Amino acid sequence: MTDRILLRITTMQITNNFSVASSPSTVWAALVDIGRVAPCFPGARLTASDGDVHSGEVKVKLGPVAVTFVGQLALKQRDDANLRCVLTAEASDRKQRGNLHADIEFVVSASADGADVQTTTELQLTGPVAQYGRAAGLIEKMAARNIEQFATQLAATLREDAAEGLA
Amino acid sequence: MKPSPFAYHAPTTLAETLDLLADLDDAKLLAGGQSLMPMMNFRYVAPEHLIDLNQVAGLDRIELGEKYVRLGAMVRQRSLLTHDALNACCPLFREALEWVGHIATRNRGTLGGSLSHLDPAAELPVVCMALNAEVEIASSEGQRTVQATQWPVAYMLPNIDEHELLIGIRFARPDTSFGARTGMAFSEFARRHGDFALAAVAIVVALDDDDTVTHASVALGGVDDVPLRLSAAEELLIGRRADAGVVTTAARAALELPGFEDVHASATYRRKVAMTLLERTLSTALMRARESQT
Repeated sequence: MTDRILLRITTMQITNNFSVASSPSTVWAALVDIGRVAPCFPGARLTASDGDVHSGEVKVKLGPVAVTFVGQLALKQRDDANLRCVLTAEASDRKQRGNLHADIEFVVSASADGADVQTTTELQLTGPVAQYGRAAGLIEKMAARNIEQFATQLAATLREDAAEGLA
Repeated sequence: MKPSPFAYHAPTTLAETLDLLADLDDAKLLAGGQSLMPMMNFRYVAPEHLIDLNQVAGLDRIELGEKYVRLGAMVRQRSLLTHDALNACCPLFREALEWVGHIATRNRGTLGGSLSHLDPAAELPVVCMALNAEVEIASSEGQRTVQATQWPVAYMLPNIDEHELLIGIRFARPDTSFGARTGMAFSEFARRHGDFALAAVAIVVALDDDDTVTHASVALGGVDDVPLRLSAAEELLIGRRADAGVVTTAARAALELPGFEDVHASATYRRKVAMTLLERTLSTALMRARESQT
């Protein structure tokens, strides 16, 4: 049974890019602040912080299936010189319907009117949720939709920061 | 398996239901239970609270007005299928419902349940989209309506908040709003009866006295991850004389859809099935429109 569940794995890579009218170093400072970045993910909230490791949960709706992933979020790699960092999330469903592992890489670069942020998410789902849906590729579509919303919200937050900085 | 533990609520009024929905977190609504109960038994869906709508008064009415039809969310699929006056003005329901599940599931299954579950191949969302229906939604804060065409957001995700309740649908009577020469047809293809459709088509067309198409709704289910209106086909039809050539051209629009793949069929096969089914169903609807002249 355990083997069967472990075999249900879905892996995917999703890329989202956006730009912010603010200097790369300002954007970088906001990005490495997990307390600001995490709530940008739809349905996510942080519950506790212990140094660099943050605990939290994220509620995701996969059609009629509402899943609450509970776990940890940490900045696993941080390269201040090249403005590149990797945020790693490890979580499992409160009702044992699956596990999630995500590596979200952020790369900040200078652009003509501010900073470009490149996000690459490697997401791995295991357990029954990984097989959710009747058709191939649906779980990927749903995950991509969530990550797109995250990038949109993050961009909005960073732009708000930039606007406040100018005022 | 048995479902994981949950608290059961059985409100009897709409106000009580909306209060429960506003107050409870992680609640699921139980209508006919033909999809929800198996999912709960598999422990795929494991809500903290279950709000049973079966005793809520006033949600199961079929109202036929002079211009509009209103159907309550808790109208059973069987009632839609057997209601003669409803099917006299809108035969799409009877034609579609004969494809929905089986007699036993239709006795329990509801209109609102089918719309909310929003399986990509479900028949009733396709019918509602073809009829340009408005979906009525209530919450403790008030009411709002959503066009049926805006109802599907993503795979099995309807345009409704978790604290809101679908209370019914409303649509203009097709027999009076598009003129006398209106024709409707529904058809689908599934490998076994009662299976999820590989493709399902609902059509509403209206003709003027010269056989020119004045209105066309083409709704498709089962082909993509949400039911959809095939506007490309509708645009090809409106303003043209309804001959076999137009029908074939319009049907080819189905080949442009992305289509979805599962163990039952590839995307390419689904698109082809949709095209053939669309051509046949459209021909039937146009024939009915021609015959219905008074």
